[in-house]
Amino acid sequence: MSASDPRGPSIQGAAETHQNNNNRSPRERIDSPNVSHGNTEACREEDDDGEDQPCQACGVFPARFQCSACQSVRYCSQECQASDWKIHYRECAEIVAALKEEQGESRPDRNSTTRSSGGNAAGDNVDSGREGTDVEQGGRVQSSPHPNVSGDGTRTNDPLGDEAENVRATANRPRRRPQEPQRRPRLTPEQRAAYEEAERIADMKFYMLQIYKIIKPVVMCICLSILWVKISMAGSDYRPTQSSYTVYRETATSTASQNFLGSLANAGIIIGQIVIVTIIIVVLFKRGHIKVLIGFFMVVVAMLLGFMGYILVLNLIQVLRIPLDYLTMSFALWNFSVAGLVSVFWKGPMWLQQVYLTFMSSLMAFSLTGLAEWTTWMLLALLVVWDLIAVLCPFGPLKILVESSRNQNQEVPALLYTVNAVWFMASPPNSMMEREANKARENTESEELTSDSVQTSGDNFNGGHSRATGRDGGASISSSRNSGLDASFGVTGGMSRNSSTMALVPNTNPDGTEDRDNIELRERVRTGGSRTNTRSDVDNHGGGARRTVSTRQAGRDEHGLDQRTEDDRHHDDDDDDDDDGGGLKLGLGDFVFYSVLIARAAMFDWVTTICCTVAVLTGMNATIFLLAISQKALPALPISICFGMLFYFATRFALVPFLAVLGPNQVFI
Amino acid sequence: MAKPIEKMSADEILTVSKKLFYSGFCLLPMLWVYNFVYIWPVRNRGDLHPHVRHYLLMSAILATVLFVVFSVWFGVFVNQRLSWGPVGDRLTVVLVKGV
Repeated sequence: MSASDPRGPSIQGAAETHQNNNNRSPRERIDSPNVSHGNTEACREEDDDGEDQPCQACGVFPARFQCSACQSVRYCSQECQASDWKIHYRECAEIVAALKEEQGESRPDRNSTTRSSGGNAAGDNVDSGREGTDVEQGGRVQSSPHPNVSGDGTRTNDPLGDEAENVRATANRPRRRPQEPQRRPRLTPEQRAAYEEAERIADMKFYMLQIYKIIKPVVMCICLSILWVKISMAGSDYRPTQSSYTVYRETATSTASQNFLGSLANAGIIIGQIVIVTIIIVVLFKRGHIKVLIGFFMVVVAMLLGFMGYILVLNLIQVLRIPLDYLTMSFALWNFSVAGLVSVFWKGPMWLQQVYLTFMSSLMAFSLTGLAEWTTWMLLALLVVWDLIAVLCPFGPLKILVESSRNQNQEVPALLYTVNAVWFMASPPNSMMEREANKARENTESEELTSDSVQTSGDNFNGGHSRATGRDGGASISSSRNSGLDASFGVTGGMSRNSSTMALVPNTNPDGTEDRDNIELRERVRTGGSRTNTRSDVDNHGGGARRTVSTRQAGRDEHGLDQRTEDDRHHDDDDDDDDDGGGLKLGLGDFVFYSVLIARAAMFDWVTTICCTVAVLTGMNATIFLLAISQKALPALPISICFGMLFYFATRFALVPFLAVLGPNQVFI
Repeated sequence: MAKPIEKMSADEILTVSKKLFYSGFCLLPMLWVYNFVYIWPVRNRGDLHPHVRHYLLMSAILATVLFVVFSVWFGVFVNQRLSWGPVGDRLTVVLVKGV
């Protein structure tokens, strides 16, 4: 990457600050004089504590992990923490709030150099005496067995390696947390700018990958909807009809103003239902009545799959002239619906769930094609407004929904299409706690890892590292890797009438996720010297940062660091697999209304259909791009729907007549 | 969201497989297929309960049997419905036009 060179100074600076972090491991403390000893003591202390306090969830000794946010409870494993989290999160939040307040008083200067990124590692060691709030990256980076400490000659490269990790740690974390206090003692403004730049590039790459992941199901859903519409328009008697609760029916003779007012009333009624149901859902969710919600959604999904499936089958068999008997049809529908319910609400292969969610959305969109034309457009326009309000307003219901989903570590059932298995575990309610959770785990790990690295020479540190990872895997690392998502950015959504929740949501990651990120980070950077140009560069979000880093890492090869063990390779591949899940979540509501728009366009002409599809997908990309910039929940509908509507009317009133003239005159032939 | 099957413990897999297998008897051969597809990736896991393989096998067999039965029925229906007269018409969901 060409940008890497000008970034030289920043990297140095980072390395420098990073070095401080490494001081936690006793060995390195010897090397660098400017060290504070507090952190090492802190983690020892924690480790000792593990002996006398049982696991909060199962009561087993030794409880080696503690809730690092509040540091008041201990667990024997992440599973236990996850299971206990639903009980613990309230008190945890309180304790943390109290803790934070306390620290805010004692260290007012800390906020002075706040930076908006995850790369807080650099400054944390300054406050190393404090256990609770600092360091996520720092702790993590420090915990990795350090290759470069072994020989004097390598020492010069050391900062680069560390810096690499640090940059990647920074870049790898897509969410920025402005609230987190951090200090970078020796960073000049240029260095800081370069840092942020690298971070932003990494974010962008991540989101680009996310776009590819999410675009496939959206396109599938759109195509299915087009297919249903086209089939049903080919002479079916069973097309979905306008719902009975609409007050106005368009007729061929009604004027534009009549149509406008009437459709406004219709769309208003539908939007009103959407708003009410959304609020009810949010309230239920917030109060914790998850079972009620799940029951409700199960009924809705069953109705959708069963009834709309039935309507669709009627259309299909009539247009395609399939003789079908009631026996076979009811049998098939019954099986189809139940399998859908099981996969959406219980357990099942991820891909099957995704297929069902996509299919459900297309069914829902198909059912909405029954609305009259004016009503459809009016509805979409109002939805854009509602979406903006619900997601962006301070008390917007969807915003609240997303936040409480995060806080309660509870997923909104059946409303989200997840790109990959998200499996929320032990997700702390806010970023600070997340960081601390990571830190605590790192602290416990770091002891072992450090001892490991002491034994292994710089040359085979790769093996040592993966061994360490493997061993810890059961407890912290691999379990966190399971969580699959690097960063779940979601577009939350609801199912059209029933619950329309539409938002792009950057989910707070399960803390494990972040852990994983950083493990991956370690691996990549470690092996970076040997495979600077391998696919992992491209493969991974954060590739940008990585590349800037790996060019600088080339020097490390000389010291034998390129000897990747087979073990490590395997581990790395593992990581890649896990990586495959991007974190984007797209609400079904967005699926549905994209498809509704395009289905409506498909009822007019193929030209409008294609134009609208392109416009909607472009709008979606733009939304995800904005998501990358703004780093918070965004409504997914507005841009797409506006583009779609613009293109629909432009195509319908300009392009199609134009083509209609061109065709007979054979201008292009 | 449920965790992926690869991460489940052997006991969990057994429970899932068992539930899916028995609920398949409510005229739900799809759940047998589901069971088969779901558990298939971990079929060779070392710590897998021996009953799981049994459930998988039975699921596959029963699903195939039911599939064959319904295919046969559908074939018979398509070919014979005209000769059944009113009964055939009443069984048909949508009367095919022009045939």
